[in-house]
Amino acid sequence: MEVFLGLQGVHWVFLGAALAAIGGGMGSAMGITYAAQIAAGVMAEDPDKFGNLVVIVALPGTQGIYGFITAILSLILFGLLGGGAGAKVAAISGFKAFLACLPVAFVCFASAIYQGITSAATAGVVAKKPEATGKAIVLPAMVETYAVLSLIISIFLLLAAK
Amino acid sequence: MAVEKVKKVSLIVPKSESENLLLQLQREGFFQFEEVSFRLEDNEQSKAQALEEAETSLREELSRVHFCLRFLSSFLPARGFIQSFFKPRLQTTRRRIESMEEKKLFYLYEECERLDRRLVEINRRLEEIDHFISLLKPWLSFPLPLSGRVSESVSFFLTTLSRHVYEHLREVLEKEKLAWLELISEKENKTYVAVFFHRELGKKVEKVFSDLELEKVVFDSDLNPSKLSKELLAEKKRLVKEKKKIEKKVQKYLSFLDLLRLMEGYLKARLARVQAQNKLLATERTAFIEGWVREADSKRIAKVLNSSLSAYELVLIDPLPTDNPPVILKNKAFFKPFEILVELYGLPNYWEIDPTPFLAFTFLLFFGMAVGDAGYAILLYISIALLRWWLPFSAKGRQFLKVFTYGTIPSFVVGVLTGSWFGLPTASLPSFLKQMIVLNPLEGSGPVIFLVVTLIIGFLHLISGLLIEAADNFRRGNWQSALLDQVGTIVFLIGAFLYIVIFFQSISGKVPSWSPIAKALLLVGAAVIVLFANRESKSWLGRIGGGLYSLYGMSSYLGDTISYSRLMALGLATVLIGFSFNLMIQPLWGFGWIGAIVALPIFLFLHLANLAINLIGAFVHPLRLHYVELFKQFYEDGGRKFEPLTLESEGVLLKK
Repeated sequence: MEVFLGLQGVHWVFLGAALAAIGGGMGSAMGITYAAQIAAGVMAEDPDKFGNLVVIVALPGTQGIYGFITAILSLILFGLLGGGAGAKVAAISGFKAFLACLPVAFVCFASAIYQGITSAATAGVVAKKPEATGKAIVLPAMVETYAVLSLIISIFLLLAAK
Repeated sequence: MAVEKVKKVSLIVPKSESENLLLQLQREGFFQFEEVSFRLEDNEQSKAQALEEAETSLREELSRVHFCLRFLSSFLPARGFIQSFFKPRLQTTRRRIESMEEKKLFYLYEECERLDRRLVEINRRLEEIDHFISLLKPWLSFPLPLSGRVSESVSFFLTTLSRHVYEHLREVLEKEKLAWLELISEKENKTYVAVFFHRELGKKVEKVFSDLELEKVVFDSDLNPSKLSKELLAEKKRLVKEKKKIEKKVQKYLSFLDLLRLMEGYLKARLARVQAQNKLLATERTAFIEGWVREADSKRIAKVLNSSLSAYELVLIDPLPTDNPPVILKNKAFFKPFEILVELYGLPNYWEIDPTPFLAFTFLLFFGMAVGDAGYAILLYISIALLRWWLPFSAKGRQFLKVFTYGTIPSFVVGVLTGSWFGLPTASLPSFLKQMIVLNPLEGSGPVIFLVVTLIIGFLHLISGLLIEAADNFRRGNWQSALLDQVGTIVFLIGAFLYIVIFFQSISGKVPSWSPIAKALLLVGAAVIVLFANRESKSWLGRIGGGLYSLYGMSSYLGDTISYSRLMALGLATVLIGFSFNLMIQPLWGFGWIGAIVALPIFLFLHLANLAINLIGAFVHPLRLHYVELFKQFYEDGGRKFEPLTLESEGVLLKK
């Protein structure tokens, strides 16, 4: 079996996919926790705000999804999904796929956490000035821009790696 | 698409009739009262004290009504999780609201407050009792009264000690013959101990205790533990019985809830009137009232005045540039639901155009791209239909649902054109669906084309924002700004856009024949920006410097355009998650009809979950693209909502 830096192509793809899923998932879990804690505090005062709050709390969840998508996509592209583990991947393209997963793995991890912090602050706006909810929801979406950009780059790199 | 025109109303009426007039206007519900912005000179404004008192007493009564509503509602049977989002609104008639009067439900307030106080007392006492009983438990076998006196000369106190402290203390105290310790009970490492001593030695014993920093256990009672405990239990029983009785009584009062809501509506309407009266400008005989009506209602106000006043002077004028008139968005029925999206950001000021119709189209397009699956469009449509049938949405909630309902159409179209049906693999689709596919965003150059499409759409969106501002400037006769600011920018941006296209073409070695046009546009646009963007500046140096800075600011359009690529990410997210869900349940389909029975509900559940997750993104991100990227180009908010005097309020709806 041909190897690159000690790993076979398939293993490089697995490593990349796993990192993307780990980065996005961990970041989102942390981000949502920040937002949910504040939202729970607001709800303790006024449970009727649940509708607005759930949107805010869910916002940092997208990075986990982006990580998931990147992982799935890298498996699909190299034919590794659904019992296709025997598929052959050239070691160098596997390594490229691994690199392709890195933007999502890192950017989604960090941006989800910071988006969570922003969402938590936004939950405060919902508590004090419910009429400004519409504007406030835009603020966490600002942070997400960079997660979106990293996803797009990862997708294009993956396509190129194949 | 300007906002609806309003007229400023100035009225002089006999002061004695002003109260009745406000009532008539409130019944009609088309007049917004405005506090007069100037004061009469050397007029003490003989602020009728009676009015202020009336306002205070109305507020007090309103807060009592709110208390009763809260108190009684807490005894309503628990509603379902989803139902709890919907606040009940009372449908009623004008006559019923006006049949109320202050203090009418006085007895009910008193009763609710009394019962609530008593319930609080009972609950507090019950907690105390439970606490006491648990404290008494280890001492139950101790037979002496807890006062601490055994006889004239012997006393005791109680304490809890850890096992080894107890051993140590017993040795010390008994060796010195100061006291003897009686072990009452023992649990884990803790001992419950009575310390008996002669009164004369009391001080010494105390000293030993305080030196060791030990604490006594004190019960404030003359009974022995088991008797005290029995008595407490009896009291508990009595209180629980009383509590049940009160709860039963409250159940009877629940039928007053509607009446209380009616009262709330009545008091709010009355308060609005009293506040208006309090704020209007008055001399001894006359009152001056200011406010707003829709232009369409100009005739109506004269009619109301004729029928309810003996004399009046009415002046109706167009709003002055210094005014901040209330804003009413006026759109055709199709666009109406999208007004909510504009309101979420903040209403346009009165002089700004209403962006609703434009926003409606582009929001729907973006929503469609972000959902991007025909199967999900159908699923969403059915879900909304079921929700509307199942739950009593408020008017606003129904508008929101309409936005989503309209959104299913572009989602369906995008799904069909990209061959996305529940994230199923394209190869497994029937051939007529395959034929309708224009672009497969996951195959070959599909992703690149998809990305470029989103960027082009974004670019056009930004340009259209500038065009709207230019048109608005023309409308206001501000053609200079339209030409120099917006058109200049547009020319520059188009030039820059073409240049980027040229750049990509030149990578493959081709330079298109029209490249000089791009250069010309770019230069003309840049020149206009540099020369005129800062035309108010006094010195030429400042003007050119400011102009160059504005030119540098054009780079923000690049970031804004790229921001639209999120539409691609959101669309792919929906499809790919759906795809992997399908993969997970794929093995189940292999087991014939039994497999299908198991797989179908899982299939629906998973895809509904995916739809729900993605709907949040599909709503928030298109909204963001409008609020951040588009509105920056032209929109000025700061409008305040038209809020006429009316008998309706949050909890009370008038029957039409």
